[in-house]
Formats: sequence, structure tokens, C-alpha cells
Amino acid sequence: MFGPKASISGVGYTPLTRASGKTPLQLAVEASRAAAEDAGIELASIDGVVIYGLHDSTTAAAIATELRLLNPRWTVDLVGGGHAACAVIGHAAAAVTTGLASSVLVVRAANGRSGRRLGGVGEEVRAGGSSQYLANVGLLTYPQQMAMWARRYIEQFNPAPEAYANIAVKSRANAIKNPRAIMRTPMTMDDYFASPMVADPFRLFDICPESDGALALLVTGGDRAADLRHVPVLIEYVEHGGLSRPGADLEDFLGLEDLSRNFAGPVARQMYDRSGLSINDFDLLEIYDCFTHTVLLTLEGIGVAPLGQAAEWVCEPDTMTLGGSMPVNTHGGLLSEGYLMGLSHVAEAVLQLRGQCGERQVPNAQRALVTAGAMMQGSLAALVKG
Amino acid sequence: MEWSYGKLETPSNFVGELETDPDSAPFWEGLAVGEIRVQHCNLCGTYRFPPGPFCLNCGSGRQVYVALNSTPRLFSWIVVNRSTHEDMPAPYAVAVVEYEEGVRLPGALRVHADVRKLDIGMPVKITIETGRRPFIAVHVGEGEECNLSSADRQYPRM
Repeated sequence: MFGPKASISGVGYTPLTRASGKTPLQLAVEASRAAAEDAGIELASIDGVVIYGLHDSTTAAAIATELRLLNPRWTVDLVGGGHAACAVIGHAAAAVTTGLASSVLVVRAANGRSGRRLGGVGEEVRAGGSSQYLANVGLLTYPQQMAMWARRYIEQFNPAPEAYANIAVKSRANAIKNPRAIMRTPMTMDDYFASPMVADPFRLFDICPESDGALALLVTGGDRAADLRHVPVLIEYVEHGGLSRPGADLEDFLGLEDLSRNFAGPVARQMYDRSGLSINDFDLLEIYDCFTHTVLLTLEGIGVAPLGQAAEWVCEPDTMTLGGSMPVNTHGGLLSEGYLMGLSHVAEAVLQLRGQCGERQVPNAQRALVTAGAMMQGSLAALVKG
Repeated sequence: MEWSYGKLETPSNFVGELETDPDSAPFWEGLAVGEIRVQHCNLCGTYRFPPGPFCLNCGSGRQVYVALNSTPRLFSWIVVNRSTHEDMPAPYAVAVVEYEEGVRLPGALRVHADVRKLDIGMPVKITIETGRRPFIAVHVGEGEECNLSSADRQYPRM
């Protein structure tokens, strides 16, 4: 698809916190400067900015203004949640491979914990669209909605409760080796089962913590990447899509054919058909994990396990772990690193493929699959070491 | 799942800002007079909920609102143990039910005394209760409402 023509050349983080004390724009600028510095590119020469969010962030033009970009000719504001995290990389890659821009910052910035919380705790609720029907009986938040998916799946396939515990515990074990992670206290299986039920079947540890912070990735055309500081990570394939009924909004799940499959199946098929890749071609997986249950659905969709059987896979001792047969969420995922709406999964894959992950480095990592999204729509990215 | 919660809260319903739009108005008007009205396509006969401007099967805009009258079944449910809004004190339960017409709706779940175990596919009874807006209540079992707090019941597996 993009082959060697587009790569991710810069990664810039702010710290992840529970209260940044900064505006989303300040956070976005801080992360963007760090990404340009990491790439070794002159900041003012960057000519594209893509930002996504759910009305909780800043704008591409505002970032371009504060960064004093000389010629911001391709600025995009995309309304989207976690499902967009790989798609935005695709938009940037499309821009640099077609000449719409030469280098593009892809940004996620928000005060997800101290500002507007996606978990919906303690905020004024305005429920329109599909959520008016849900809110009327107290189905108010994403954890509550996804718990409805999970209960249906649990009754259909009877996964071992230990599967959910394994996802939480193994993610935490990876996060302990990640200095960026906000959740680094060791977690045992007993700790998981002692965590309180929040939205049964979800316990507290089935749900990712919201966080404040920003992340910027710099996408450049292949002709520039060779001159930059790090080994380029090539954007091999990106796909976005999902179920044939994507829904009027993110809450429109009542009319789905089924709640046991998410976007990942159709999108992965699209990617495998177009690329010739299969699940066996990847050395590590960064799986969007707003909830533990999302990991099960997505693992089944991308072909790691058949429908209803991912629980057995995650319970195998050598899956998901660093040094195991298939590392998953090497940074701890949203569940333990913190919530940057999925762009952090892309960033972690880049750092792994560069070999910069220190004690959590996956040996000889050549190609990574990143997933973004939980429900009807989502995106995937195949990244390969250049 | 073994039913093991004690007395649940039965909040009247959510009183935050609920919006209405042209597609949803007939549904709310129906609930106010005791009917659950969903869209039905005059051309192909497909039912739709939540409502939208065109039939999702044939694309026609000739949808009318009709009252559901089949016996719904339990499709999924959750128990909210941690409140996320002051209008909805926890614990409370929410169900999604599926009608033979092929549509699913959410409702406040009321579990009655003789229920030991909830299963997907159980037939349920529907009442429409009065709140700031009328809302659907989904009843499983018979007898007094949910008073199953005995310690010998197993905590839910998940």
C-alpha cells in the first residue's frame, strides 16, 4: 500500500498524568516539539497536522499557529475516538505519498482525567442520538455499554473469568517496565478478583484509567526519512472500516446483528487480502484495550483465536508477555499505561521496531500489528522496520 | 449468571439532559401512552430501532411507527454497582431485550423473587413506568421484586 513511501520518523510524548495543569493546546505543542526533536527535523518545515478527538481537544490550525509552521498546507480535524488511532496514520501517509504534504504531525491531546472524562463520572450529561434511549434507563457510559457486550459474550461462550484477569495482570506486568505508565504497581490474579465490580461483568481492573497528556507522531515521505535521526518505521498497510452497519454514532449498538464480534474481523480480512500478510507475519501485537473484553473480541477478529476462544489463548502462560510467543501491549496498554485514545499503541510499536524499549524490548522485532477501536468501527496498521 | 445481588435501587430514571429529535419523537410519544413504538417499513416490512430516516433493509423512506406486541426475550444485562450520575444511584440493573420483530430495546431490569439464575433468551415482561420521561421496565420472574441477598448465593463468576 504505502510500502517504503511513508514512515513514522518522530515520536513525542508529554508525561501522562491525572491532572496536567495545562490546556490541550499546550500539551499538543509540547508533544509536537518533542516529535520533531526526536525525528531531527526542523520544526518550521513541517507542513501538515492531523488531530483527532471527541470534542475534547484542540485544533490542527491552533497547533500549526503555536508551532509557527511556515506553510501549514494540510490541516485536518477528525472527529473520532479510539477507532481512528490507526486511521489518522493512514491519512497522514496518504498525504505524504501524494504530495499534499511532506511531513505531517499526527496528534492526540486531551485532559482525559482532569477535564471531560469519557467514563462519564460526575459530569453533566446531554444525551442525544442513540444515547437518549440508553441514558433514560441509566446506561450512561462506555464501560456500561461494553459490559452489555461482554455479558452477552460470556453467556454465549462461557470464557473463564481468569481470561479477563490474565489480560489485566499481563498488561500490568508489561507496564511495570514502562517508565511512561501511570499504573506500575504489581498486580496479581487475586488483586484482579479483589477489585470491585463497577458495571458487572466489569470489575475496576477491566476498565482503563483515563489520563491527561499528549502524543505526537511525525509521518514523513520515504524520500526524507533516510536523512532523519532514527531508522524509519514504514507504514506498510493501514485499513479502516468495520461492521456493515457502523451506526449513527458511537452509542448505536442496539441494532447490530451480534455483540460477539467487533470491527476487527472485516478490517483484518481487508488488510490480509490486500497485503498478503497473515497474523503469523507479526512479531508483536498492540491491541486497543479500553476494556479487557475488547482484547478478546479483537484477538478473535484478527485471527489469533477462533470466535469464542480467545479466552483460552490469553490464559496460555507464554502469550501476551514480554519474551513470550506473542507479546501483546508491550507498554501496558490503555489498561495500565494510560489513555491516549490508542495513538500510544502506534507509538509503542514504533519504539519497539526501532529497538528503543530497554528492558521491555521484544528481541528482533521486525513487524507489528496495531489495532484501534472496540466496537463497530476501527482501524489497523501494519508497521515494519525500515 | 447466578443472581446474587441484594435489593437493587429502583431510581425513577435519568433526569440529566435528554434530547428528542424528529426520528425519536414518535417513540417517546408512544411510551407516554403506554406503547413501545418502533419503525416499520411499508415497502419491505423490516422493523427498526433506534429509529432513523431510511429503512436499513431496502432504503425506503416510507417507515411508519407501529406498536410492538410480541413477547421479548432477555438479550443481555448489566448491574451497575458504581453510580456515574447522581440521578442513578447504584446498584441498579439494565437489560437489553429482543423482540420477535427483530429489534432490541434497553430497559430498567427488575428481577423478581423466584429468579435464581438469569439466562439470555429468557422471556420477560414489560411495563412502562413513569419518570421524568416514561421508561421501559423489564421484569424477570414472578413475585416480590429482587430481594435475593442471602449470603449462600455465589458471587457472580465474572
